[in-house]
Amino acid sequence: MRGYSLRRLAGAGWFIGVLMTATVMLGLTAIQTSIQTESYHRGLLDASSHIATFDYARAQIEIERLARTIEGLEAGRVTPDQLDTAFEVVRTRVDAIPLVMTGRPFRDALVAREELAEACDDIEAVLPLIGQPEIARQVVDRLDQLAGTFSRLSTLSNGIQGDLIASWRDRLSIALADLGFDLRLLCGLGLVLLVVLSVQKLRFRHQALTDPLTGLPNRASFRQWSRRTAGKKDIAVAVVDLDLFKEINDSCGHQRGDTLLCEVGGIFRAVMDRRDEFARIGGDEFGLLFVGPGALERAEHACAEAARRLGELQTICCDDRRPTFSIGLAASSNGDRTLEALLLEADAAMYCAKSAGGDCIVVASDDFRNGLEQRRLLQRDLATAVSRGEFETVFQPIVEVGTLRAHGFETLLRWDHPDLGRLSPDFFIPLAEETGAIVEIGRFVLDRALSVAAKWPEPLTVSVNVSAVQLGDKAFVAHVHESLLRHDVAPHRLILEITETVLIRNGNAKAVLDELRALGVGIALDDFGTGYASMGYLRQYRFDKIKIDKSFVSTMVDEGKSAAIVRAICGLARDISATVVAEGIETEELLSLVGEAGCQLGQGYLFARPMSALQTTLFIERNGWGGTAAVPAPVASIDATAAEADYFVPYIRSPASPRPGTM
Amino acid sequence: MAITRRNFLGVCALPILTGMALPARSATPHDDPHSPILTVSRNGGRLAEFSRADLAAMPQTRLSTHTPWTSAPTDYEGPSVEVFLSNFPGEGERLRLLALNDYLVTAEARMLIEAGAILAIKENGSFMPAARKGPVFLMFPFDADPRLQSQRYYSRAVWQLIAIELT
Repeated sequence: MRGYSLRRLAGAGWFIGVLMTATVMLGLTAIQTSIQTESYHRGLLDASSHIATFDYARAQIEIERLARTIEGLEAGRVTPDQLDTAFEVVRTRVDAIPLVMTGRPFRDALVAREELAEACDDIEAVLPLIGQPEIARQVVDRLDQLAGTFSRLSTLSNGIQGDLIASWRDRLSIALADLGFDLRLLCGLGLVLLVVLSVQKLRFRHQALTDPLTGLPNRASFRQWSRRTAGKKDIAVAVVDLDLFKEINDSCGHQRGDTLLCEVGGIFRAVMDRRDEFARIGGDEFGLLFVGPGALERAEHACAEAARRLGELQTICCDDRRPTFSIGLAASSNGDRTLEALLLEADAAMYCAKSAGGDCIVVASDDFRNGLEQRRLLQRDLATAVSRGEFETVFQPIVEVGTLRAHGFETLLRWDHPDLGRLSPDFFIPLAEETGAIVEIGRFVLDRALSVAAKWPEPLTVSVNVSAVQLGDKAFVAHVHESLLRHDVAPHRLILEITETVLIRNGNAKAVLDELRALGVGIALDDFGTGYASMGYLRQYRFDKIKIDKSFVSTMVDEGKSAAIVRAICGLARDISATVVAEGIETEELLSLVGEAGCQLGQGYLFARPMSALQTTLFIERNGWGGTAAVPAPVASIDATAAEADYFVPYIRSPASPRPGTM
Repeated sequence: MAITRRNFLGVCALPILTGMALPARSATPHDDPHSPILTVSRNGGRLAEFSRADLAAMPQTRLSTHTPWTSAPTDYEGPSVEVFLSNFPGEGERLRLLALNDYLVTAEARMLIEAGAILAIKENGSFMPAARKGPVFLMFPFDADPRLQSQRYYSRAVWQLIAIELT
């Protein structure tokens, strides 16, 4: 309780202000008292430095001795020399009588001295006649009287000087006592200040290491974990991300999101062991640290328990979706990896869990780590693949369904990795998007596509896939424009294919698409039917082409539903003045179904596999192109030599591949 | 019966009025420059005696200072204690200083030497008569060092010094 109140006081500005003021005032008082003490001490020294009483008492004795000497001379016991000496002693005393007491003239002493001086003068005058009894008696009587005067003077001065010394001593004692009191009080105050400041420091430290919303340790605290893990062998780290947090914030409000975070904080407090650490390390991200034997088991147990408790929470997002955890776990049982490395692995594992749809725990196994390492190496290689000429562009024809003449080509990208062989874009494009290498790769593809298209007959179009990262590149539109001019290709011949994901991931997509459209470039919506809210995008943007995903097309034969959907899309496209391209046409049957459904254009192995730039010319010659009278050659004679059947796809559990990317 | 100055003088003037000549007062032995005035002894055995002239013949030190017994700064002159004691070699000696009025005080020789004490025989240029703290006055340069302005040194400023005993 005391600690609590002190902590509260330490936080109060006025309390510290009062303490400081009291300390300063006490300090000033102590200084003043010490100055007083010095002055009293000096006074005491002065008062006791010269004891006047002693001189008065000595004078009395010397005067009496002179009187006795005169009597002794009369009786013959004393020589005249002895009398002279006794007189000289008394005469000397006249000049040695202290006349000042307590710094002021001492009136009694002045009078007594005057009397003694006169007596000495008179006695000196009659000294030669001292042998006469009458004179001697007179002198003796006078000396005895003087001795009495000095006897009284000595007792008087003793009293005065005693009083003086006592008064200085008393004042000095009081001042010293005051000084001692001040000093003790100052020490006490200093101690209180010290405690208050320490409490305050601890409080600030605690504040600096605590997340104000959930009360959990924060990221700063999390950074200090490395101290705890130093020299430890068994370490497990979990990175926990709250799925749907953004959606909850967006749809239910930030207050709901904050409440959820606090509830999650409560869950971690409940499931975590006392010896283990946890912290909120990001908006909806939490870090857990387990140290000591059985760290991984404890981590798995705690994560599972936390996920179970989260499921029990009566927290339902507005659209009925429950929040879940995506958890990445990484552990080391022989101290071979640092906390930093484990955190990176756990983070990657968490992203893997998240991209797998969330609500799961991914443990960073050796395979996982190998995959990570391979991704890292591939990303490194991707950065230089363009300059090393490892990329190759191939072209797949888009034909008119009715006439089977070429309408245009879609540009596809292949990567011949020096070690791994030919890699699929589905695999490496997401990697390139992560590192940003996609921008350079995209420019390379656009450049190659336009340079090839420039050699085709005028009406043929060339399609190029555009990724979200490219669309976000500020120089994208300018580069497209510049490339069109450089290769002297009419803008309407270039079709940029984008997916719904690209639109979702780019808040600025509409402005960019409008600019491209202003250039005269065509826009195609790729993979239509596989995304989320296609109708909304159709309304929001204008597309020149809509490409129906092959998952619809290939099932048209067996499922009446697919055929109906394709038909509906074709009708819809007609209404918004877009052309429909059916992807994945592999059989004659499909071709006729697609034609019946109303698709004008088609793409697929039935017509041709992706081919080299040179082969496109052959294809165009053989099949003719839209708007010409040339009779197309039979479709059966498709040259399949250009078709490299399968791409090598390394075994990688891709941690972040939200969708297969094509280019 | 109180003795006033008037009746005291009256009695004393009687012999003068009766025509008796006053005998001339000779200088006392203490004021004779050649008679011994300062005795130095060790453990009761007399070592030496000094007349005022002997002291005046030694190297002289001069100092000017206030004292508790004078109102103005006063010049004092005489051999320094250090010079004087060099006649009597011995280490860390303790002195007993005796005055004409039986004032006896002890002092460390070193303390006197370090304080710069002198055996003053002259005050403001004139030899001090025995009736004016002479002929030897142990004097400290009080003004030169505030530490000397204390009973410790005042009590060792012995006037009419007649004997120094080395122990």
